[in-house]
This record gives sequence, C-alpha cells and structure tokens, in this order.
Amino acid sequence: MSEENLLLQGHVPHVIGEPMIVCRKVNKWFGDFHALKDIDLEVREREVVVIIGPSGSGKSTLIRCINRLEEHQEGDIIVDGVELTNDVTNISAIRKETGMVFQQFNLFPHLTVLDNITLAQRHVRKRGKAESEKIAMDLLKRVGIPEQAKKYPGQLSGGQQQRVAIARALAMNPKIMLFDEPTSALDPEMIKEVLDVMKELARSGMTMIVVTHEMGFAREVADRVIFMESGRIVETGTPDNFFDNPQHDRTKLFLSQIL
Amino acid sequence: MTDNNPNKVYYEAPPTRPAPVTQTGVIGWVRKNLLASWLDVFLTLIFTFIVVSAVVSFVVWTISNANWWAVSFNFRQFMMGGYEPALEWRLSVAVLFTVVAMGMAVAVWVQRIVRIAAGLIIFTLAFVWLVPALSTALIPIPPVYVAVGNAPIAVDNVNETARPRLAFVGRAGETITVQIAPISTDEQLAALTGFMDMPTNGMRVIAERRLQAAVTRAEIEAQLAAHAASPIRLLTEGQIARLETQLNRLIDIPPVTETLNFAQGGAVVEVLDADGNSIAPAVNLPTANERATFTLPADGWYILHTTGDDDTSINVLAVNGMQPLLQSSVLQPGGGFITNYTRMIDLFAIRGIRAVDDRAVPFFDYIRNQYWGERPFTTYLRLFLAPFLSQHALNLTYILLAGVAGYWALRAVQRWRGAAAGAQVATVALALTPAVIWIMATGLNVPDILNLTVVVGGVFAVLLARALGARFGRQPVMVAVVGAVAALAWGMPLAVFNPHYGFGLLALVNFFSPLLIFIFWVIGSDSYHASDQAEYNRQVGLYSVLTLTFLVVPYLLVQVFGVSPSASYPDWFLRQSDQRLWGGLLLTFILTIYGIVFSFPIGILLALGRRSNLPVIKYGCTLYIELVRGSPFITVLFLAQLFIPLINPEFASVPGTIRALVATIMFSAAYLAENVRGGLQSLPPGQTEAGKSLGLSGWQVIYYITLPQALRAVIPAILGSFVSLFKDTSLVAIVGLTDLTGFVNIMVVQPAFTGTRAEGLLFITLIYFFFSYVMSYVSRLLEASGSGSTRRI
Ligand SMILES: Nc1ncnc2c1ncn2[C@@H]1O[C@H](COP(=O)(O)OP(=O)(O)OP(=O)(O)O)[C@@H](O)[C@H]1O
Ligand SMILES: [Mg+2]
Repeated sequence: MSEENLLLQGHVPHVIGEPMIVCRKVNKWFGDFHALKDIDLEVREREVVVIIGPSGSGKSTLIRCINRLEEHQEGDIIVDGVELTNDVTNISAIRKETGMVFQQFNLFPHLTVLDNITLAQRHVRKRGKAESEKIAMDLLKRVGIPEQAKKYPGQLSGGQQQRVAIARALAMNPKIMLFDEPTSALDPEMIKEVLDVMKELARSGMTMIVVTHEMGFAREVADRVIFMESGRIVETGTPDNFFDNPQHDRTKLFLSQIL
Repeated sequence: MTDNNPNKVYYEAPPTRPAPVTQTGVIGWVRKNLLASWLDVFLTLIFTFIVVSAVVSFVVWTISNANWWAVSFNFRQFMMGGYEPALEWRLSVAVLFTVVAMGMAVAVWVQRIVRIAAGLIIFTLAFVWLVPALSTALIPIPPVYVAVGNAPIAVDNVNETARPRLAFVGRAGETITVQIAPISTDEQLAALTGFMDMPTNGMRVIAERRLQAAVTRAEIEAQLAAHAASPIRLLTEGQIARLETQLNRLIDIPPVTETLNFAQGGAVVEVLDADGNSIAPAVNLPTANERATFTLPADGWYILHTTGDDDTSINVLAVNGMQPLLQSSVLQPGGGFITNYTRMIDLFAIRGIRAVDDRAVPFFDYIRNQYWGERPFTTYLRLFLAPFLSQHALNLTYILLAGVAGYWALRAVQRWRGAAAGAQVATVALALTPAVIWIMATGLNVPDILNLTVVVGGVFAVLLARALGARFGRQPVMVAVVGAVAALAWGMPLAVFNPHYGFGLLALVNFFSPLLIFIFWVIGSDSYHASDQAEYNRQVGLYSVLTLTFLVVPYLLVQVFGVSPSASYPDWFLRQSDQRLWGGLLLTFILTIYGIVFSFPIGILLALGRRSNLPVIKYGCTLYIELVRGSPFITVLFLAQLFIPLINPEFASVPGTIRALVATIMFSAAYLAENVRGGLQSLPPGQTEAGKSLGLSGWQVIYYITLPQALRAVIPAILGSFVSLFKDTSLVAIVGLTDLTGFVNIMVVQPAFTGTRAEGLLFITLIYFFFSYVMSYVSRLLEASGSGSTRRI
C-alpha cells in the first residue's frame, strides 16, 4: 500500500524512538501567578504531540519553556539529553536543535525571504553563503514557494509567510519543532497550505509539539493529544481515545464547545 | 417647445457639455478653495493681507535699503571664519569630495530625483551666470557724486569745502568719465541718489529738508486759511495755537542751489597717478554738456583732481568708474596686520600702504561716502546681486559639476561592474567623507599620523579580541589574555605620547578602547565553535601582528628614535590648521558633522545600555541620558568649556572649538539614545524571540535583527534631531565661538557695517534653511524609499 493510501485511511502512528524532551515536575510562575503546575511530559523521537486547551491554560508557556523563551522556576527540562539550566552554552545548544514557529510568524521584515532563512544558518551554523542559500532554496521548494525568495515578508500572504517561517526553522536542521498555534492568524483558505506542510513534516519523522485548535489535524497526525487546563495537564491520550472517549469532565466540556 | 415631461427618456445619448465655467478652471478653484463660505472669504482676505504686507515690506527692504555689502564683503568669514588662507585649498578639496560622494549617492539610492536635481543645477547655473552677465551688460553702474568748487559750501548748518583731491583705486583699461551733474534746482538736488561725498550729501539733505519744510508750511497755511474762510469753526483755539507755533518753528532754509551758485561756473578735472603725475591733460568742463574721459594705464591708486573754474560757484560732479573703498586690516600669516583697500562693487583689493602723495590725500571711503537716497531695483541688481553672483559663480559651478561628475562616475561603475559594486563605491565614498573633511580641515601632521596609527592599532586590538573570543570561547583564562590586549591598547598610546598626551581622536578612542575590546570579545565568543577553528586561527595571528605593529612602531619612533609627538612640522604637506581660527559655516559644519558621527555610536551604546539587564549599566546610562536631556544645551556647552581643563591639566590647551564639539557630542548622544531606544521598544517582542529561537546570541539578535529595524524605524526622528543639532550649534556663539551666528555679532561691530545685523541674520537664515531643508528632504526620501517602517509586516 502506498503512503498516500495509508494517509487516506486516517491516522498512521509514527515509529517512536528514544525520549527527546523530558519535563519533570516543571513549575513556572509569572510573578505570583502560577502558570505551569507540576508538568510531567515526555516526548519521544519522531513523536507528534498536539496540545489543546482553553485560552490562558499555559500551552504557549509550556512550549516556550522548552526552548527557554520563558524560564521555569522548578523542575527539570531535558532536551535531547541536555538539561536546561542558566548556562548559556546549554541554552544555545538546545535552541540550535529546536525550531519554533509562532502564531504571528515573526519573520524579519527588513530581510528578504532568502536572507530570513540564511541568517541563522550563517551566523549560528556557520555555513557559507552559497551553501546556506542552496539549503534555503531547497526548503522553499519543499514548502512550495521557491519563487518568493527575493521578496520581503511584507509582500507575502499570511500563509506564505508562515511557510517561510517553517522553512527558516527547518534550515537549522532542528531535531524538534515547536508550533505555537501556527494557523490561528490565518484565513481559512491559507490554513490548509500550512497544515499540509506540517503534515509532510510529521510524515518525514520530525519530533513535533503542536499547539493548535485544528482538531482534524490532531486526529490525523498526532500520536498523542494533551489537554491543558489552568496550568496543568488534565488529560492525555491517543487521538482516537481522546476525541471519542474523553475521561475528564473539563475535557468533555471543552470538546463539546469546540467540535 | 418646453419639455416638462418628468419621466423623460433619452433615445440617443445626450450630447456632452463642458462643465460650467464657474465650477472649473481657475474660477472654479478659487471658488472652491478660497471663497467657499463667508468665513473662508474672510480668512483668505486676512491672510492674503498679512502675507502680502509682510512680503512686500521685506522685498522693498531687501532691494532698496539693505546693505548687502556686509555679506559680500564678509563672505569668506561667513564661510570659514579666519581659516588660514594658505590652507583654503584643502577646504575646497573637502567640499568637492563631499559633493562627489553625494552625486554618487544620488546615482545609487535616489535615482528618481535626478530630473529635479538636473533641473535645479541647470537653473542655478543659468541664474548665477546670466544674471550678472545681463545686468552688467544692460545696467550701467550709477555714478558717484562729488562736490566741486573753490568757494566754501556753507548753507544752513552745512559747513564744508569740496575736496579737490580724492584718491581711488582703478584697474588697467578702466575709464573714468566725469561730467557736471545737471543740477540747477533744489528739486534736482534733493532727488539725487547714489554714492556721494559728504559735502554733496550735506547739500542734498538741506535741499530735501527745505522742500519738506515748504510742503509742511503750505499744508498748515492751507488749514488756517480754510478755517478763516469757513463760516463754521474748523479748528479749536488750541489747535490754531499749535499750528502757529509749528509754523514759526519752521526755519527759513535758503534755497541751496541758488545760495551756492549752482551751475553758474564750470570745473577743471584731471586724473593723477599715485606719484601725483597727471596721466592726461586736464579737461575743462564749462557746462553739464561736456564730459571728460580718462583711461587708466595700470592697476593701482589714482587721484581725481577737481577745481572750480571760478571762485564763487559750486557744482556736483557725476563720476563714472570710481568705486567706494573699504579699508580693513588683515592678519598676516607671518604675524602683524596689513591694510587692505577693497572696492565695494567688485571687491578688487589693493594691499599695503595707500601710496598716494604721502597719505595726505583722502580716499573715496565707503564709510564716509555712503549710498544715499532711494535705491531702484536695477541698481540693486547691478551693485549687489550681480557682483555677488559673479564672485561665486565659478566656485558654485565647480561644486555643482563635481556632483554631476560623481553621478556619472558612479553610473560608469554600475555599467562596468554592476549595481552591487556601484553601491559599494558610493557607500565607501560616503563613509570616507567625514574622515576626508576632518583631515583636510585640521591637517595631517606628524602628531596626527602618530595618533592615527595608534588609533588603527586600537581598532586591530578590538578585532583581535573578537577573533580571540571566536577561537577560544569564554574560557576564564581568556579574561586575562583579553585584559592584556586591553591594557596594551589603552596604555601604549599613553606611553607613545608621554608626556605630550594631547586631546583629540586619540583620547576619545583611548577612553573607550578597553570597553570596546571586552564587548567585542563577548560578541566574538558568541560564535565560538570547536569545529571551525582554522579561520579564527588565521585571524588571531593576523590581528596580533597588526595590533603589535601599529602600537609598537609609534612607540619606537617617539621614545627611541626621538620623533617629537607634539611638534607640528610646518612644511609638512598637510600642516595643522589652528582650530581657534575656525568660524562661520565651517565651524557650524564641523560641529554638526562630528556631532553626528561621534554621537551616533555613543547614542546606540547608551540606548542598548539603558535596556541592559545589568543594573549598574542600566542606571548609569539612564542617569546620563536623563541628566543631559534635563539640561539646556547652553549649560552643557558652558560645562564643557569649564570642566574639560579640570579632567586633566593638559586639556587646558584644548581649543574652544573642540570643547564645544565634545559638548555637542555629549548632548546629541543622549537624544539619539532616546530615539534609538524608542525604535527598539517599538519592535514587537516576537522579533527577539524569533532570533533567539533560531539560536542567535543576544548580541547577534541586536546586531542583525533589532538594531537595523529600530534604526530604520527612527530614521526620520534621527534626522530630525540632526537638523535640530545643526541649528543648535548656533548656541556656541554664546561661549565665544564665531560660527555663523557668532560671526554676525562680530560683523556688526565693524565700523563699516554697524547696523547690518538684519542683513547678516537674514543671510545665515537662508544658509540654515537651505541645509536644514536638504536634510529634511533626504529624510523624506529615506522614508519614501521604504528604509523606514514601510517594510513592516
Ligand atoms: N509574560 C507574562 N507575564 C505575566 N503573565 C503571563 C505572561 N505570559 C503569559 N501569562 C499568563 O500565563 C497564563 C498562560 O498563558 P499562555 O500564553 O501560556 O496561555 P495559552 O494557553 O497559550 O493561551 P492562548 O490559547 O490564548 O494562547 C495566562 O493566564 C497569561 O495571562
Ligand atoms: Mg498561546
């Protein structure tokens, strides 16, 4: 059976490997506000984890802790065997292996699409100009917009911008990709083009944590769905179990509102 | 047939008609924009009245009253103050270089203003060449008027004698034409306008007063007569009494021309050379119909020798070809003063002693022989505008052509090497401009070269620190190594210049070098990777050698081979200019340009410092910024004047020019810091987060992501603050510097130009306006070209 047909049939579990991200009793406060409460989470190689939950439940905070855009105060976060501490070397080592895609794209508006993708390659990965541009062009082909390379981000549609942002993160050859509501700022017709890229990425074996409200995507791609509520993980399970047979009342309520 | 059908249907398209005349064209525009409502009509009228009356009186003053010689005579001082004339060529080089660079910039970045620029250049050139040519060809220089006659000129309170000998400066081939002015009545005398000697002006004034008195008398008498003839009382007793006193007070002035026997006799005219020898036979002018013409054989002093042909009559001679002279003292390069005699119209000057008849002969002095009477527009053109323009037309042409040449040179580079190479050339040229201006203005003597060498050594030390960081990372032992580099870069200049540690570029760089070295070490260590060492090995080697060479060679030269680090070698090709002499636009520009150039990096560092997480840096920068922003520029200026010598006794010799520059930099840096900080704050935090999430270090995020965007976003604000800096430099006049504004204060104490403050201020206003406008225009171009915030998502 070809891969296409497998996809058509619905969810295909990924071949899960070693633990890639480990969170143990992670706690985070914003001042007095307890934003993450005793988060225990393990994400394995090639696993795709979708996090859902109501607004303000701490989804963004959790994935931003994983690449140290936010600092957690208690507990351990270990990414690819490196523990997140205040050590700058560890932080930069982890960030190098972790790509992140934001809701607001956050492309660099003063640089062309091509320069957006080559900047970190050249100054972090220390690749030469020609090499990094070749990689950038390959990735632009992969996300389907090689013809936009010379444009500025402001000249692209939202969907195109988000695909550039994905290409920019991928150019660093990360082992993990973090997505924070990558489609929430997009018009419906653009959501599909971004989700297609993400599906292809999942199929290629990328370890991914995706915060999203796209339930179709979660059902189709995720190995595991996590439901968060006021800073804690309330429920976790395979998509089929999670959507068809939620255990927790809060989960049921949330799903009834959203589906 | 009338068509009143309310539901009319057109089977054919109705013919097109022009819109009503009252709604389109000029009438329509006026109706719509100026007279739309009663209030609009009222406002339009009021404002038109205000504008017209202001402009009219202004133009009238400019043309018929203003003394523009104050400007044209002092033009050099307005431009460069007392800058050494022998070094003036260097300023020309600097100006031409700058203009070439600007032409290049136009070719690269603002191609679309080329048409406007070309139009302006052609217009300017046509104006500065055609106006003088046409007015010189079409308008004769009005004659100067000199009284002649052997009898005393005594009428009313005037008691003069005509001066039989009057010295003047002539040029080879010029002709002097003398004629008795056709004046036989007081009316003609009173209507005289032009340069005239004191007796003539005295007679003119009396004649004018006499005519005026006659008019007043006639008016009063008419009023009294009307009162007497009228059946009702037109005037009160008090009014009548007042009018009668006024009438009695009117002195009886005798008719001037009659009293002095005007046009009764003739005059004998002769032109003598400086030794008193006649250059041509004397000519007798019995009436106003004859004229005497003399052609001058050489440049130099001449004497106009005039006598009456009888002992009773007085005449006024109209002399064509003689110009009033201004005597002025000029500082000699070797010391001492020399006297200059400058012709007011063409500024032809003769130096040294007035070699005429043992100085007993008075000369036709500008101060005592002013232009009196109404000045028509043609005279304004011929006496002021045309000479002024023709004096500067050639220089202006060179400057404009330099811009054109820069433009075409860059177009050639673009065609030959491509657009990227062109942009590079233009960038380098622009970046070099401040250095070229500085070197050309101050000179580049042995001390400067030593200075520059150690500065370059310092730059290499910074690069070395970065390479060390990249090669070895942030290992603890490296703190010691980098510390040693910093100590070398800081201490070596002191050793070189010991004990002549002066002040200048060196001290500035020296002050900041350890800081910079540590910052760049940290920046370099951000890209530390065990994998790519080969390149950094090479860099560490190269920069170590260069740093040592540039720091040690000056040390050897001075301390071992005995080159003096302080003596300025006067025969040196770019010898040092005395900054104390700088003034005018030169000083204004130096303060502005270097205010900008140095305050820019300092401002950026302050802005970053204020956003730093380290409390000491953060509050230190905040304190500095708020202190400076909280005090007026004038205070900072005075503080710099007073405090710089306190820092180090050596600095007592720092000229006021440099002290003012330091104040300007300190002041401007604080404002710039706030602008930049505003730009940084306006960026969404997502930019930094995206950079960090890609693994860029904090410095890399600032350098590649936030700072470029912040600077682009605040370009208008930055240029705006530079425009105000340009204008604020005028405050240095108060601490005794003669920048543009300061010079006006000096100009008006020259005896010849007392009371010309308005002319001076108007002239510098035009200069300030021109450059401010250019800067704002550039700022608008930058905004429109998308370097500003328009590229935002
Ligand atoms: N920088 C901050 N300072 C203070 N409180 C914060 C900060 N960032 C987030 N919070 C708070 O932490 C809580 C979790 O925020 P978070 O952004 O993680 O929610 P979320 O689940 O991503 O919500 P959404 O679906 O709206 O994106 C919220 O209550 C929010 O108000
Ligand atoms: Mg969120």
